[in-house]
Amino acid sequence: MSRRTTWTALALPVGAAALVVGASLLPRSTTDPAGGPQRVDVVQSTYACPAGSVVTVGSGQLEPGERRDFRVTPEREVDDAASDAGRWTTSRIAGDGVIVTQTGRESGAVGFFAGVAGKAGGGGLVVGHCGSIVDDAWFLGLGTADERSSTLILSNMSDTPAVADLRLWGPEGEIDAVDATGIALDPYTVRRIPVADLAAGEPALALQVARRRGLLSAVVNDGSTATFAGTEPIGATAAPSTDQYLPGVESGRRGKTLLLLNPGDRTARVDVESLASDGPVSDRRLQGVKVPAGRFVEVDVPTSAPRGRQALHVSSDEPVAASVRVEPGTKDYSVVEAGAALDGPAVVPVELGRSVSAPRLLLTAPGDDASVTVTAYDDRMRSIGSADTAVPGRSTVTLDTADVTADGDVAYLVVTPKGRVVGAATYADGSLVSSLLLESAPTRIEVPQVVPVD
Amino acid sequence: MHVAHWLDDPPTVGAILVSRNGATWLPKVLGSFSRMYQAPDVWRAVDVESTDGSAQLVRDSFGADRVIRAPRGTGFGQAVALAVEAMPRTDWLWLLHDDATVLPGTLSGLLDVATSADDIAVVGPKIREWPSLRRLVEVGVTITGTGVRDTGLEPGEPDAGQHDRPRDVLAVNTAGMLVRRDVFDELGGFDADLPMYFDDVDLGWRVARAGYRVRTAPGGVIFHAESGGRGTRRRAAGDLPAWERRRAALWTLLVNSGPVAFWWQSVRLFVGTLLRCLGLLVAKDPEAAGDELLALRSAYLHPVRMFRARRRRAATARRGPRAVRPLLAPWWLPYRHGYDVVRGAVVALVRPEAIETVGRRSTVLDQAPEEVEELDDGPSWWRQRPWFTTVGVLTVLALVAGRSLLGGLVHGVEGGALPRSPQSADAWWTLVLGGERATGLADAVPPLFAFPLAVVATPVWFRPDLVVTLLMLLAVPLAALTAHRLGRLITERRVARTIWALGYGALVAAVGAVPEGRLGAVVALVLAPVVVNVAWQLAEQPQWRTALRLGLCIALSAAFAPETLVLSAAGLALLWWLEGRWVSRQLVVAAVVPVVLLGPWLVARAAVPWRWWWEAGRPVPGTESVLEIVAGRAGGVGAPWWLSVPVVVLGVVALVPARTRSAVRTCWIVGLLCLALALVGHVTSFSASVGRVEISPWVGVPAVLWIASLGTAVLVASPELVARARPVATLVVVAALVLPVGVGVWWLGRGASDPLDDQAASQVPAFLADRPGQTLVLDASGPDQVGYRLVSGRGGYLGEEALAPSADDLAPVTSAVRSLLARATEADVDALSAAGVSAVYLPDAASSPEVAQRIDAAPSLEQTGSDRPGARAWVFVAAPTLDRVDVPWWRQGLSWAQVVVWLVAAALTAPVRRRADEEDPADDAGTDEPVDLVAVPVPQDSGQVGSR
Repeated sequence: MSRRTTWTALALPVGAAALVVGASLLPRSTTDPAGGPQRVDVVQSTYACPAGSVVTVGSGQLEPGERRDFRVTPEREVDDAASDAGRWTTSRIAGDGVIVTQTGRESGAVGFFAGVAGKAGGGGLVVGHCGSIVDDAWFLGLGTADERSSTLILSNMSDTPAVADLRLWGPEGEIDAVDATGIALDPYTVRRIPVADLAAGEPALALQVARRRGLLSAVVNDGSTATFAGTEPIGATAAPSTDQYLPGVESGRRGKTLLLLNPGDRTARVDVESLASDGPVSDRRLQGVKVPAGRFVEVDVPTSAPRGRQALHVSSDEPVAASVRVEPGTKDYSVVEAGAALDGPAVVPVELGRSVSAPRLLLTAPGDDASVTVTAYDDRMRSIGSADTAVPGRSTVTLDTADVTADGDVAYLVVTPKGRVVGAATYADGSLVSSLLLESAPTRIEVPQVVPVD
Repeated sequence: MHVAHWLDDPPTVGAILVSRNGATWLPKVLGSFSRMYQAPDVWRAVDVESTDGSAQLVRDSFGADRVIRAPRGTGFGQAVALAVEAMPRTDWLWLLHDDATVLPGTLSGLLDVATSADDIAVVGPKIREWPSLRRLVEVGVTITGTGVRDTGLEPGEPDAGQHDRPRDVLAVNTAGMLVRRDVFDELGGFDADLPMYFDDVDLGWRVARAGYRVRTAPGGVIFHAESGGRGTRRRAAGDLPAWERRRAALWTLLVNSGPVAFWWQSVRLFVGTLLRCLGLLVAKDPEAAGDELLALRSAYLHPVRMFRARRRRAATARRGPRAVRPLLAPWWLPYRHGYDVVRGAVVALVRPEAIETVGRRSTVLDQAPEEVEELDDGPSWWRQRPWFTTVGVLTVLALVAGRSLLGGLVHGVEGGALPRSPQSADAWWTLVLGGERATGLADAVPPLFAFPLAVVATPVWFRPDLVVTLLMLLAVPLAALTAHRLGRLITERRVARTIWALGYGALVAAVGAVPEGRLGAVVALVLAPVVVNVAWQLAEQPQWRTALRLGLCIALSAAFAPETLVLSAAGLALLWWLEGRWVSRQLVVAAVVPVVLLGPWLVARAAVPWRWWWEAGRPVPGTESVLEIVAGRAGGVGAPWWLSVPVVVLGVVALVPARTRSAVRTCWIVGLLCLALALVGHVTSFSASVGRVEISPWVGVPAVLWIASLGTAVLVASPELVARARPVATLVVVAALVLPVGVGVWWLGRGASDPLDDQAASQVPAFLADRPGQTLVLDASGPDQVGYRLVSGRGGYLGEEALAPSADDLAPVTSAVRSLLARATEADVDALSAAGVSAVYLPDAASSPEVAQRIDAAPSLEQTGSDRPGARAWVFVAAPTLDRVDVPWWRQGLSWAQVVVWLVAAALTAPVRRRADEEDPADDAGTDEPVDLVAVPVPQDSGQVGSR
């Protein structure tokens, strides 16, 4: 074989090798990876509020909506003015509850309820969120002994039946409650379930509501007629986790009880850190608090702990759910729930009837420095004042809203965060108090990437 | 009691020999007459204007006074009538042909039966083939309802005495027919309207209606050359046209049918003839089709003559039509004939070489009747046909490897890229030609591969899954089969091409196309050797028909695996480069034909950059590495890559021998083209109409063809390689066996299933599938992504995936699903309902409880039971909108036109049947030279004397 022929013959394998090397150098085509979650506009919001003769329901939004529909159970007429989705409205509606459906893209519709309970109910101040849909709600600090009573209020907000399962824990562990599963609600009905019917004689209880089907909201009304009386709507606290913040803990040396639930099967060790106005402070007696597996415990916050307004940072080695009950006096108490940092503007109701005055905002930056803008609006959604407040990192600031509400009839405030902020509003009427966790108004919601597949 | 034997008082017999250009046979025939134990009393011979010396032979044998010369065009019946008029009256008439010899005892045997009963009017001998002498030609004959002459014998059936009992039949052949003179006169002899064909059947029918019997006499034997039917008789002026045979069949049936059956037969034969005509056109036999039409015209355009003929028969009939019915062929016989034809066609297709042994022998007169040929059976069939045996073993191995798919023979296979098959072939036809689409399907170009699937599935109408299952199960043997046929062109060395073909089959198994359910790749890989085969033929003999066939094969392959269009284009360019202007025009045809045949499908799939990677079935991504491509794999469930290393090494070694280097180089170039395409696929991606935006192609087809090209290079160089030192040759053989043996072991061990399965993988529970509308099936297996598909009924079938609406079309549904997973409103549910959705199904709700919870919160949805733990289902309270998509008329017309174009292309590329060249009768005047004898298949109808 001549040299030239040899080279000609070798050119083909060499060409093949060159092709292979070339392809190896180029990036491999990839099947597109799964897209991340995306945020979609909320075009319709539905929430349920407890109703009654002493309860005022306030409805508002960040942006004017298109329509607001009230459905009262049992069926009642509602003032037409309340249906104006472009205004802040309050109404006192007799009935078991009211279901509000508001349409409008990114309207941020929210509802609140407020009132002062009668003496039989504890006589305390009540301010709470009208509940939106719950998937898995955790309520801490309930009781059915020592003149305390708790009532679970479930609302089915859709035209199909709803079903929920309940679980209860006490200091001795999980309670095998009778008829706690498969609780059914007909379409557009409200069902009030005395917790005592499920677990009577329990001084301390934690409750989990798991929605099995339907569009369901849940809230607990807790009251006490004992020496330390009062009433509080207990909202759902954050699901058990190893790191959470409880904003809006009012000042005082005594009367603060940390409520901890460990639904897992291993003992949790909990560390509590106070994020006060001058920064984080830790009390050694709140370090390494043991919460046995499957137990709900109440831990008195020691008097040595910081006294000022603060947020509690609860961290643990096992997921726990946490709340704080604050009893500044003997007339009333409030419960502070753990909440997520605001990822958008939050509405704080002001105009909720005569018994409720302008709230005090306790804002905490769990991480770096942050700031908030508080804007006051009248019932026609006109801005009537605003204030900017810096929130130093890992500390709590108190914002007295009187400054921004002094100029007129403020119906509600909008707290717009810049940075990571958690907060709560404290309402007071004399010795009556109530705490309201700040939650972002529903304008956008995160959903998984949705794609058609072959 | 003494029973008189005919020999006591022998009846008189008048023999009539009709000759016409039978000089080839007459010496033997006339010689056989001289050795009869019982000779006829009277002889007459009629010569119909023979031009080959027959007349002289007859005159020399019988004497001029016993020979009658008839003019050209005289039919057998007329010739017999001439002789009858000219001969003294006898009790019996014995009719003889000039190509049929008799044995000494033939007439005695006939008279034995003829005199056994008074009502026997016609007796026929046992006719055996001349010259094989063993094979039976006729022992009585009848006619089917479609006008086919039926002897009741198997083709080539040997005479072992199985028909040696005399029996009543409808008719006997005129060759050797013994007929009572009085009955012959009573019935008026043969029908003048049947000059050549079916005159015997007609006579027998009339005899039966007249109350007499036609009986076989197997004791009398004649040997018949059937010169007319085999075309061995020299044609002459005055011969009737070919369509006369069919006309005679129609005429016989119509004039002899009963009054009631006549009308039914008229319609049946009319329609049946038209259908036959159509079938013959499709089968590329236009001459025969024309004969059918001419026969139909001739038979039906003479109603007066027909009714006169019927009246004449009615006048002589003493028995009703029912009495004849037992003598006619059973009703199912035509269908049996049809089956035989199909079987013959399949045999011809699969083993064309077998045809030579199926037909009868030629009629070369090299043997005397007495010289009985003993055929040697030879070695056993599996030794005679080693490749056939290899394919058989390969098929068994394929069934073993596909053991987990055998259930698919009952209810189909699906899985991986292969959707389920439809319930009937109608679905594929509708997909291609239908005017509307089911809810949820887009108004898109129908998948072209559904057309060949529909064609193939039509015979098994309700089991189209059988086609797909067999394709997947037998993919390896089929690929080896087509490769072996190509191998015959490449080398004469049987062992080498067998190993090569097995290696190709092994490559198809190794790439994992079957277990991954890649039907398109399977079809393309089976067809690839066929494409190369036809291209080879085109290079050797550039003909437009071969070019058309090449284009058809390319289009068929591209319909299933569009990327082969790219390869084919490159291959045609290579062919042009190699062959130059010699084939340029044909190459243009071969290049244009696929474009025309693929039509809109070309625009929708094959010509869309990178989308040509989307083969038939779901676009399941490939996962191959560069190394796997080099080894002819495509990732997934392929065989170990290193099994291909010996082929690559041998491919390089094949470049060494100088004598074969040119061809080896061509193989390498083809291989490089395939490798390049596979590597391009490796670094590119495509998008299907729905689903992932970017999909990595599966490059199995070019990867396999790359290694196959190297294997071909080795095959080409194999004579040079094995001619070297023995250790080198041994090494080459062992290395060549690594791939087929290694892959075979892997293949048998792993099996051909998974993800392909023979279990129906319904995408939705039965109770949802039965609901009207579509089911929204959610796949929430990803952490941050939810995929959805709209499933109608049990799920889409193969082909519908190509009609899935695009992501843009599905935007409203996507938006509604997104809202459903966020905060569902009535409007979202209404939007889904408007899209035809009536239920939501979440198969894996256990791992995605949040998704289930969000759907739970949607209004107007009712939770319902699920088919298995962990799955959740919801149904819509309101009824869905079930709008079907209308296909525009022009697109429907385009589909019809495309189908017609395919049929025309297939018909044009099929081999054309032509009759043996017929000499101009005018040319043979005065020629006495015997013609060459040509072996042609013998039709059932033996025709008539003189031409029969």
